[in-house]
Amino acid sequence: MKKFSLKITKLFILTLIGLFSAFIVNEAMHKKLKALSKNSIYFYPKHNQSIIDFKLKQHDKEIYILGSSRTAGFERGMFKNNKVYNYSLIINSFNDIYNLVNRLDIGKGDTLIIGLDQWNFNKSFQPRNNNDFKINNLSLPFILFDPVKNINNIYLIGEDAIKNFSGFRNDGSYFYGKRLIVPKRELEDFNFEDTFNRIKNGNRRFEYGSDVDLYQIKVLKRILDFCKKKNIQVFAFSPPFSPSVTKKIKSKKYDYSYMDKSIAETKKLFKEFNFIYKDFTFYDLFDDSYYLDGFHCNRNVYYQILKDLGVPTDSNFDNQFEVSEKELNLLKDYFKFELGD
Amino acid sequence: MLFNSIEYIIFLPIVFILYWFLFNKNLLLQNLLILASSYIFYGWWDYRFLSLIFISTVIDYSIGLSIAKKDSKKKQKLLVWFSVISNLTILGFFKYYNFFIDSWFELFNSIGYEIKSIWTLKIILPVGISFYTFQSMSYSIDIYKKKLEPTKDFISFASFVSFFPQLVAGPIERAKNLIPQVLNKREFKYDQSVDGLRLILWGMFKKVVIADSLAPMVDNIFNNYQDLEGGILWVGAIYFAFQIYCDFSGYSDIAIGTAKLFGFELISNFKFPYFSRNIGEFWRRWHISLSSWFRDYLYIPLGGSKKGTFKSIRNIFIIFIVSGFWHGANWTFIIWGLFHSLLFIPSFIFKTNRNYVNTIIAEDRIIPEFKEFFQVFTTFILVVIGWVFFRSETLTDSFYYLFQMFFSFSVPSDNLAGFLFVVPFLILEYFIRHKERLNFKISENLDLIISTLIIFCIILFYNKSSGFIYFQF
Repeated sequence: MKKFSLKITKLFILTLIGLFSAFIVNEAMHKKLKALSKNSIYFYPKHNQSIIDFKLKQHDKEIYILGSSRTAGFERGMFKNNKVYNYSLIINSFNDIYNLVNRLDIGKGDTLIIGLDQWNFNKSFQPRNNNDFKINNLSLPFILFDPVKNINNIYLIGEDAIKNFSGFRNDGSYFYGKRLIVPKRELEDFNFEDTFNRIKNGNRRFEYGSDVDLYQIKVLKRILDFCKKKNIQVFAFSPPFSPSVTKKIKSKKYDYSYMDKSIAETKKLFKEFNFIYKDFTFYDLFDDSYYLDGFHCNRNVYYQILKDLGVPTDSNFDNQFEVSEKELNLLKDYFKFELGD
Repeated sequence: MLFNSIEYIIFLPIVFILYWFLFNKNLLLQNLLILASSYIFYGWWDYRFLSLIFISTVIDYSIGLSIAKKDSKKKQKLLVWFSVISNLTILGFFKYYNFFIDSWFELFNSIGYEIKSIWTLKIILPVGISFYTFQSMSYSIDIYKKKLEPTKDFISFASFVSFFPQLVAGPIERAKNLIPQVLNKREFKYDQSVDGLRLILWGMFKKVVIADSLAPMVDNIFNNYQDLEGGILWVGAIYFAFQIYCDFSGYSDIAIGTAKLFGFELISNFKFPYFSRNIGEFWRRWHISLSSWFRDYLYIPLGGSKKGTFKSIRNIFIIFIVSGFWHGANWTFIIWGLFHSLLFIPSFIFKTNRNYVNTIIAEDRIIPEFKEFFQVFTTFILVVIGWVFFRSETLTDSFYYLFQMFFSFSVPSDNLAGFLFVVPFLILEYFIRHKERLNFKISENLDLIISTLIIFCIILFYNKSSGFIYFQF
């Protein structure tokens, strides 16, 4: 027993020495990286961390934005109240939203903004995953102490921030910088070709369907029930498609009749709970140039959505087309490129 | 309590010190400590479900004694059936009730009757229920079959049922292996404890470094498979094969290692399954404690392979499907079991399933023969295909996934980072393939250096929110 205790002690001491050395090296490296990042972009992909883990560490908010990539564009600067965080891109389904609402510390008087992707109501859209949350990788440096505060001081985070200049801003929203760096024709959905293909083939979330999946309505009701009981104010919306995609969806050639039916059901449900719901599926205020691809709008549209929902907005929001002056300067700092194509 | 939690790092040394320094002279106190620690370990998750373990313990303890007292075979049979039905009722209610109710209503809905299920209940699945009910039940069956004498020592029996290292995810222990160890005085042995410590660290490494690093990549691929090319889906399925292996075998190693620290030897659960040369060998190397449980308590009582080809094939189907169902109340697990039975039956018919019982790949060589390599590769690919059913949320998802794997194949160009974990791990496993318990004779200093490096890796990769996959079963 004595020999074993000695072995454990040696192991313990060795581990402590090693940890202390690692801490010294890590802190030095961290400082160097911070200087390199100029407080703007954190790009050192040393340690993988899931987005969900990182986002769930964000506390003390009053406005919570939940949804898929189609709600990821709401920026803190758009709101009057700046205690806002965008928790988008960590969910896959309404069940995920329900789980997330339960998990987050949302309380009385807080505001919840949720995007209700149309395809989630489609009974024929089978590959609907109901995991706890969607888990994607966010490459972040390994920081031993206070990683949330350290990272939140930086404007743009994650490995993608340097690879594509696309990444999460420190308010949880997503910035699509890649579009400004590569020629437009190299983008995946150039001229919405990819979205049109989805519609043509009836696949990848654009499955045809005439029936509403009533189970999803039930899950939605559960979310609203929860919010009502907790006195949470809910604003929900169906995100927009670009006008040319809308035209295709509406054409008689394809059956997307579940959309109108589900919108009617959703309206009824929200009315019952006295929460705000607006349908922006076919949003005709903006032309195709305001869309990043067939079903992701740009910041101008996001800002207008907030106004239309009746969420108090900041009238000083730097509402420049696609990219703000600050982000444009960052791009110029880090990349040699010519804007436009 | 999770093995990879801070609580456990505090809990284990406390129990160890009390066990060897305070109670080492009194067997009853040591067993009481094991029992109390086991209940704390389990109750840390949810103390309400301790009652289920207690009920299962009391039933099998009483039945064990009653069987031994009864002379009539008929009465003994009645008692053993009581044990089986009670344990399966507990398991069935908590694990399968909603599955049967929902499947029943779905069947009605599919033929046009829109019925709302009011029978579905909000039931929490008690962690480890499939493990301890099987362990407890096997005790009564063994007594009925005269393979074991019942114990009168309730504390020892309760310690056997709830023994914390293997309580929630196995290995599923046999009474005739563990109870005699509980009943007899344990001596501290340096070599046994060092091996135990090594197994704990190796298990933790497999879980924290390999399995948890692959987990987000697997989730990412399986959650977004509809948008991905077939090549990447193959990569996702291969990653999952290693994720689940490292997760579960890691747990087993920690369990076996922890038991060794307290002077116990548990049965093996994994013996390098991905080096198997056919499906029969795979099942002798994968989750051994469960497959041997089903062999002894289901396959053989059904007649095994002794009642003609037709009945043997029927029995194979039964044990594989039941084994799949044991993993969870979902059709994906049932189809996974069925898929493996279909892989196994040809080797059973051609009598190759008992090949390679006592050997491992490249038994006396450094590198395997080409034939062996080919056999291992094809077996692995088949197992990987099976994992798609196991990992998918629904059957529809699994068929879509497989369809894309085969019919939209392209050479993957991204999502390859996981191979940085998989390939070195596989090479390492290959070199230690003869020593599944890691009982190497190496110098103290080398052992210390390797152990420290492993601890570093564990700390660096540690993610406190990750649980073990097999807890859900």
